[in-house]
Amino acid sequence: MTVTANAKPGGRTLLRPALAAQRRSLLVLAAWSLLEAAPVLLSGQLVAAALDRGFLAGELAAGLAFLMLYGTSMVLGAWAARHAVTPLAAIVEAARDALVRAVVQARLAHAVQGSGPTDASTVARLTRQTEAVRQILATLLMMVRTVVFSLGAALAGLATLLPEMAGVTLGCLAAAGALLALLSVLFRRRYREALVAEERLAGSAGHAVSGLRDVLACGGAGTATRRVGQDVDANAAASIAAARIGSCRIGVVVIGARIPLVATLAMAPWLLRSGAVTPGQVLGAVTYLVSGLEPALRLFAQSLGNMGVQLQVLLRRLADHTAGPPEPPARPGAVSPGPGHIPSLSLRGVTFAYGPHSAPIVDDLDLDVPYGDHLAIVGPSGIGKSTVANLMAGLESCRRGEVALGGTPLAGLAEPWLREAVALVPQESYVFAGTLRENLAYLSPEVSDDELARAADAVGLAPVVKRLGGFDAAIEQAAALSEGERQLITLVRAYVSPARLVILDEATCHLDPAAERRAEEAFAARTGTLIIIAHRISSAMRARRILVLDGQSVRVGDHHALLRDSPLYADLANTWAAAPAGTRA
Amino acid sequence: MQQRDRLLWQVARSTGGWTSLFLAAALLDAVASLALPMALAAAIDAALGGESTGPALVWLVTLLAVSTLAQVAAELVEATTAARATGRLRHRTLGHLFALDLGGQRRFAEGDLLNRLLQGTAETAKVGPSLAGAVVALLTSVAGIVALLLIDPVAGAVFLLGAPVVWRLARGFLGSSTELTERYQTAYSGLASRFVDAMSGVRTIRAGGTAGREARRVLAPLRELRHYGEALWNTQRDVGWRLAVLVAALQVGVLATAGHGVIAGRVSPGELIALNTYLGYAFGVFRQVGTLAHLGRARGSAAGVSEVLNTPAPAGADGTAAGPPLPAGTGAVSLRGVRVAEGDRALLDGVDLDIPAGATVAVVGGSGGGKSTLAAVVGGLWRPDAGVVSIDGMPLWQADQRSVRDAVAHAFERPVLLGETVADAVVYGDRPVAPEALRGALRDSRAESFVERLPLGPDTPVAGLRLSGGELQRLGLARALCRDARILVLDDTTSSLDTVTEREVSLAMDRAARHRTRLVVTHRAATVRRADLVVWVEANGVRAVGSHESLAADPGYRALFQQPHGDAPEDIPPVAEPRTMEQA
Repeated sequence: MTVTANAKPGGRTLLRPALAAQRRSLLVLAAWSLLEAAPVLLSGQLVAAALDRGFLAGELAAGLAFLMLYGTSMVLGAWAARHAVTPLAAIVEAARDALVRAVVQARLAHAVQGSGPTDASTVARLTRQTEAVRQILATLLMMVRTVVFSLGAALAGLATLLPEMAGVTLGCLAAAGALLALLSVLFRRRYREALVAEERLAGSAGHAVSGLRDVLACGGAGTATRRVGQDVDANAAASIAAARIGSCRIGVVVIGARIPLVATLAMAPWLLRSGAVTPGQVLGAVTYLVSGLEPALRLFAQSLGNMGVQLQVLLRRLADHTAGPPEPPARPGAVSPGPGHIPSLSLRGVTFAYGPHSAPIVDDLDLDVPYGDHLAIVGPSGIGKSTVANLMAGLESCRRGEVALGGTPLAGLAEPWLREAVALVPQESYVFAGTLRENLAYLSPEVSDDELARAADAVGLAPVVKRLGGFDAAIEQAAALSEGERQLITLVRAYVSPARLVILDEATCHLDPAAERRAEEAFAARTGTLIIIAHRISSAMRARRILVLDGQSVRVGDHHALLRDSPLYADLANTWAAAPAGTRA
Repeated sequence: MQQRDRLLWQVARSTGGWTSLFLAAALLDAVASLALPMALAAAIDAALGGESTGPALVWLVTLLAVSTLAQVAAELVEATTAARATGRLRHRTLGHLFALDLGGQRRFAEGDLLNRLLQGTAETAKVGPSLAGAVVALLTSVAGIVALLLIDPVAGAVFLLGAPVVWRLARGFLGSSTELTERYQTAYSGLASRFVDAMSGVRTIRAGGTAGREARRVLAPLRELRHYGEALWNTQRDVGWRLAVLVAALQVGVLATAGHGVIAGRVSPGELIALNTYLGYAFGVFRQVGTLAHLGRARGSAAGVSEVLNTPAPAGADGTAAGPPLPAGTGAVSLRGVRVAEGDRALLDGVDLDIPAGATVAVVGGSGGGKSTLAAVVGGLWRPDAGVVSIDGMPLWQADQRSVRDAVAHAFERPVLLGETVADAVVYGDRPVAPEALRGALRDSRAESFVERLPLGPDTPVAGLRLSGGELQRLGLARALCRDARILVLDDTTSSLDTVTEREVSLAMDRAARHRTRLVVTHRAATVRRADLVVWVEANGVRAVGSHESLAADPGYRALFQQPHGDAPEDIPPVAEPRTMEQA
């Protein structure tokens, strides 16, 4: 195919492994398709025979016999077409599976490494695009085999019947092919522009629709109408431009099929007079040109071009999304300390900023957290508390300095060991559709029900377990649970995990103070180190030590020392404590 | 006439000229194509009869040329008409969407609305050429059948005998494949929602090192997907096979009958070939099954679009309403007998309220009680179903809506950032904002420090930016503060800020918005204590208005501040000891 041959490597490599794995199906498909073209191959010959030896010779029986033969060949073709569906389905479904798998794995990996958008609209678009590829691929495969085999069969049939015209037809087809190639280049460009315009419109309209309330509140109706309107107009103009080129493609049919037809008819009297051909042969040739060649060529020119380009553009889009994130650097000599290893955490000169030009969020931080410590981190929002949590858990690497666990830098520890040794519970609780047990045992699949029950009791989830109806209760939608219930589930999940360093990043913010106290005390009594990013000052007051972040300096101490030494901490504590005064009126 | 059909009619009429052009071209093509087999037959018969094929060939070439040109014209006109009509309908729908008040906007889910705006309009706009094309296709296949009957009535009769069987088979396929397609799509959405689930828990997945397990969990519905996919193929295969056999039988039957006609002298050899071609046209009648479904879809789309267009828009399609601008004033607001309903459910009922100019008014109450609705009504975002809302003495829904937007600025709990960059997003709106106002607003909302830490500062593109809830809220606040509005409506705009930052923002706002009227929906006791007046909203009405101190005598009022924001599990007993901190 001229159209698909130039696909950028990105798009092609996406489908190639899936197609290569289906090589057998492709061969089977080709074999059945060859058989399927039999009626086209035989049509002219049989029409010629039916006329010459049957109807024109006055032999009804012979004519009918040849027609029956033609009918049989059609049934044979249909039978082959029936068998061709199975390998076709296998190829297409396997390709869809491979695409969906590639998209899901790559997007998850990106999201997990924080290197790509993670919104729901991306997901929706990706699933829509993989489905579009499936449908186009199916149609394309079906058409390609029809076109290739019918074109071939019609040409071959013509050559056996009327070799003189077959040569002319072949020349015309070559010219038609050249025209199509030229048009395809132009069309592909226009078509791609049209698709890009469409995507841009979908993007800007989608954004405006999701912000309708905000457009109204900002008095931005005019601005929004203008911005989206521009994309509407661009989209319309691009569609018209593509259609203009598209409508020229009928020229391919004229050159490839209609000129040979006229030529055949113009030559016919002369050929007949010379006795070189019979009337039946002329009619057979016309049959090949009219019912074999023209429909195949029309299909080729009008639809194949579209679909090829569409598939190519879609695959390229998807390829952008299935390229995995950069592989995390290999860790030669990464160690997995033994089970008895006691991980004390230390930070040395840790500095972190999001961009090369942005101000550092953490600057030259030194901190030692011995095994079994209970540390709270406080500071105004946006100061980088979650970033510190990420650095401690090894989810971000610092620009300068070093984070070490048990004396070994995080980068030198085996990833699976690290992920098991450290549990981080973020503010936004992740509860997925599945049973309660699946959710709770997420980090320790082997955990027993007894252990789960004890943990639920300790952390304060027990009433929720009871309400839902035990650990086998199905959670169909996380949204059916309250924010607080979801946080309790993620807390129990971390509690039963094998982790010896637990970091709670405002993981109790939706609990009331009593529930928060209960959960924190449970974690404090658990074996291992506990670090809490505090949402309320009470969390800090329960901790053995407190780290205060204010963007410039860092102070560590206990509550009383900090009240004395850190104006920021004193302010935080006062504001937090003073707030409810009025409520006691 | 139903609304959807009225819209279809409007669209068809507005593209009337072009549609007629398309119809003319398509008809010309159809006529030329129908005449072609006869010309072909004449040429063949002339050649076989040893006569000159010249005149027949001229006729043939002319017909071929006419049909080719007509096809090109029809295709061009069709695409142009559809693109222009789609563009016009989209402009109209967009204009209407942006003129809707909150009540109108909330009738549609976001994804659904986008679908109506993009796919719905495109399908609807195609109605003219679609209908014309369907008519021409139908006429062509009917003409094909008529030609069969004219050339050889016996052969035509054979076709008519077999046709109903084929038609029934084709219809049956449409039905069974629809059901399988639905199941297939359900399996697909199952996979997509697991995917979305996982995307919401990336930090947990990352910290747990469970990405591989998550991929397997998300991909689990793939097996079901494959099952239904293959079932669809099987149905298609079986129906296709039966159809093909029927069509083959029908074609052989017709040709055999015509072959007998050649012997009997009823039919010439050229006519036999023509008959074969007409048979192709006649078979086109079965494709009308798909056309009917297509037209049904267009009607469904038109229903969706016209529902949007018929949602009443109080502001008028151009964002303005006829009326004088609001008088100059200091931002006094009054509500009289205000009722807001959604369907049968009242969100607010019988609300009378006076907000003094320049006052800071806190709105408190349990969730779902009507606080946000009240805020939207005060700011003129939601037109009440009954009652009057006035700003500085003038009913705001009788005023020029642009002047209302100038008078009131809103900030929300979860603002949506519009515009390309962070700076764009803050100054978004039809009225330009001075750069100093932007800087001041970023400062007062305490957004300045984190905006400076962004890779390109305020010029950082919004797309792909990951902001925390608190950062988003501060940008939303800046957006409200950068405009010199006399009334500020702040709907739970600091819920994601920690207490210290919240206090800093409040103090900065006290300075910056000293003379403005402020309506603050909040859950925080600290914010309430600083307000001049507290409006307690409960059960879709105003339960009490007064100072914080006077209201605090009511235990129900005090209870508002003793539960954390959001719903805590009910089983957890209330705290008995003196409380030492504020709950966010």
